[in-house]
Amino acid sequence: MDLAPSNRPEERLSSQRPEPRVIARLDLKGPNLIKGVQMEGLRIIGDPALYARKYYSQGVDEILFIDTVASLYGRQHMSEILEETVRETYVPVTVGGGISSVEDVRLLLRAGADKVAINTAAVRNPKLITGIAESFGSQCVVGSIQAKKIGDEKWEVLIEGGRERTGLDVLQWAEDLLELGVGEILVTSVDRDGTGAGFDKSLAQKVRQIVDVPLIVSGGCSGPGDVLELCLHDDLVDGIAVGYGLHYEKFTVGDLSSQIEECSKPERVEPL
Amino acid sequence: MEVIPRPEPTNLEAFGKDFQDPPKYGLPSSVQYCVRCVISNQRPNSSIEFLHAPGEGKKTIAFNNEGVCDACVFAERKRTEIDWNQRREELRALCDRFRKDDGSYDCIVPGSGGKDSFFASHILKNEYGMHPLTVTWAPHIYTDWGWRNFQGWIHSGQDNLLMSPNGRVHRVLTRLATELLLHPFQPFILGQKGLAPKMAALHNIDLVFFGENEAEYGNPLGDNNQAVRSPQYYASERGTEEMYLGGVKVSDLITQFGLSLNDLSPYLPMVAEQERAKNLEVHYLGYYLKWHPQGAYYYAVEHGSFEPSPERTPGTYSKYNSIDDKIDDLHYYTTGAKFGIGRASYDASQEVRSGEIDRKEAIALVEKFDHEFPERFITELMEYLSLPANQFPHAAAMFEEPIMSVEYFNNLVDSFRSPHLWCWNDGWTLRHPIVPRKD
Amino acid sequence: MFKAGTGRTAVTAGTLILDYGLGNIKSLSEALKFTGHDVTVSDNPGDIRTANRLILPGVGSFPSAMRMLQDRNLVSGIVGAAQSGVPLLGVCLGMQLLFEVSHEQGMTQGLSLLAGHVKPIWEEPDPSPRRTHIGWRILETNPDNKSNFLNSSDVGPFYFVHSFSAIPKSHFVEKAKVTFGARDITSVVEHENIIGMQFHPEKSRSSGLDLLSRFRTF
Repeated sequence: MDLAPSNRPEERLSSQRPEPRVIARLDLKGPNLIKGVQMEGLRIIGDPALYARKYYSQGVDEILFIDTVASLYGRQHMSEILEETVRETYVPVTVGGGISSVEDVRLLLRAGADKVAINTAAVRNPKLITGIAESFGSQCVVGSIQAKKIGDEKWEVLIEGGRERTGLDVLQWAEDLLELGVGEILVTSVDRDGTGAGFDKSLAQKVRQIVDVPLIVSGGCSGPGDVLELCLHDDLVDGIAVGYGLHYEKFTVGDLSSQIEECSKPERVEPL
Repeated sequence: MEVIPRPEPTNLEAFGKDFQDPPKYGLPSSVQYCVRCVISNQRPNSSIEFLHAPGEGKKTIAFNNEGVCDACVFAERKRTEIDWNQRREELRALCDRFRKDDGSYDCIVPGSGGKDSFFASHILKNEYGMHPLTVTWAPHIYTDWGWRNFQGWIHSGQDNLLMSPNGRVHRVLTRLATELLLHPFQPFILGQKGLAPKMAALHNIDLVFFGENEAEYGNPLGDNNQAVRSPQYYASERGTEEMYLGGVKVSDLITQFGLSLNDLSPYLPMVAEQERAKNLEVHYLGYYLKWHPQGAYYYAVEHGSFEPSPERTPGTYSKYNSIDDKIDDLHYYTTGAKFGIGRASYDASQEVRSGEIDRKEAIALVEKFDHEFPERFITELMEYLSLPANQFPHAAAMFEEPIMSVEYFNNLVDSFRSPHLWCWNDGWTLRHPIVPRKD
Repeated sequence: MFKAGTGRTAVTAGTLILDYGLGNIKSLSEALKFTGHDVTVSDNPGDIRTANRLILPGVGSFPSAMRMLQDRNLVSGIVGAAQSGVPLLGVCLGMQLLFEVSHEQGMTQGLSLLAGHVKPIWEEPDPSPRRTHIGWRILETNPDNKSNFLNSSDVGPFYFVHSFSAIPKSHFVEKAKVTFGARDITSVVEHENIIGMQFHPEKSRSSGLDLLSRFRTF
């Protein structure tokens, strides 16, 4: 059987917790994979299903699809891409972008999604999170936060693809999301997005102190060096979502997961 | 001239379902949208601003027989007909002709440190071996990020001369331009276009590079065939008595508004410097290099520290276009009121032509963002447009109400709306929006 | 293949995914097809009788799942089939449903095919370091408690995503586990023809696909 290779050697000892995951982040617009810089100037890259398959074959842990025009059109477009991807990739898929009702979630799960990422709709209608968690379980809801730096260790929540300000503090909002019932938190640094300038480590640290659900960070990854930066702190992140660097082939999934594996060796680890 | 009366609340009856008044500004009476982008046939071409008198008619963008606007036609040509390799060769030859290796500057690149001037100055310096002197005509009111981008530009490796016009003069002219032309941006545009040739003359530099030709956005198609900017935009044979600034005759500005010829010269075309500018050539870099606004954004981010605006500009979705002047908010809002075309329409049309978005998305963006009231800086902008008597003894006396409030501003804006574009239906709505109304 | 003595015909041979309205049926269905199963997706109790093997999927809450199974009159069919020896695979929530009771949103009775209960992973004693267990894990097996289904090479890693887990009454039923901080998480249960997997085999790359393939001949 011609199956995609696993990226982890079986000889590795089992550990006390999952290793940080490498998640390929694919921003979509209509039928296209796109990418912006600081969530602006969105550029067409290519066919999403093709890229999803490519990252799967490189050993990616999860795939994250974000529909960037869903809230503009007020509806979901994702099903076709989802269905095509799911047919050939046997890893978890998370979808986000314009999800605003429990029914939206039901349809997406039926079409092949495992988790949903909710951003704008949660700010506009926090009870939605609770509704989804009650119907489908917390583990299926990812609270997605777009964080824009507004001061020293202070970030503001943006919504609608980074276009609208909310006046909400990211750390407070992360706590609120937790209370509402999210099973995971995804924090994207708007400032670092698409720049390859490295993850916002202090943002990750601050959010980590507050949330006891898995934390995924996104925005700015320029390669294994950044992964090393994060992983030097034990238990800081549970996953990284990477877009720009993968789409522009600055590095591969394998480069990142090798680095994570390196970090997981006991001698490497420092207390948070 | 007479004292300028305060604007009265508009007679809304003229904007009812049936209207009788002819279109203002000589605009086409029926509204048509380009079939490729989302610009309408009401889009005005550029004026020669120092000849811009109140109430004059506007030339507008042309559409061909298939309903495609000139800007889209040109965008197609950019993609398919123009031999950019050859154009690059021409640029190289031009640079070879003007390059100086004795340590002096060999060209002027005007700009603000925005994505376009960043791109222009950087590529000329690094790829074409030129020694540009960048010159900046200051914005009315800097945004924080605009200032940072300006500094970032200098620190990426450029020499720069910043000309900040006399703050008081600038405010009088801005108020007048707003009041009489509903064109708050005019004083900026005057300097933006006029400064570089003057600086070239002053510094004995014979070459100026502007960025894109405005023709790419809809000025007459033929203009695009020119690498060289017509001197009529920055030099004049006419005497200053025939010129207008802020919609007011220069002679009246001097006799009634307390301004001197020296105060006004930064806004006027070059006269005294003309002698020194005999050999001056003003070129559009956009003629030689295929201009891609979004590409310039990426270039500026990659080669410098360019940051987009942290927030969406009111009236549009975009954050990387024209972000350094707070007055910009009013510029696009007033353009929207006069011609029915908001900022999102401009941004989206440009992105459709560049292939960034499709028309369907452009329409959704226009419907969502066009004509949004510029709330974010409005208090500061109203203060800027006010002319308190203690600071402006002459100018204040020429206004029935020298202090501008939001109500004043709204009445003023409404007085410039044309009934063939707008109707009043418990709020202002377009008679002919791009997605036709159901009623 | 069907077991002799069950009184079933070979008309609709194949693998039946019980679609009672909760979960990502699509991925499971695609993975099963990919590994050679003849897949039917249905919520019709009648279809249980003709299936060679059953798959009970599930993503969501235990109480909702039980309610939906009851609404569709599937409970007795599933229990009956399992008790008469039809291979039954419960995946994720589906595995939890095999047990007697869950403490999610109050107390809810399950299918009671296996003794034990379902509890949140973050609760005392021995709470997990995170509220949800998400990620790729290598299984730990006990050589003294061998499984008929798992091979020694089936270590994984497998993908887990859940906040509740089953605690079987009998040690023998648990054939593989992982640890999450202080918390042991039962990962594979097996009792005769009944198998449960807390992880998602359809989301675990080739390791998971191997197991799904093997279920075809179990």
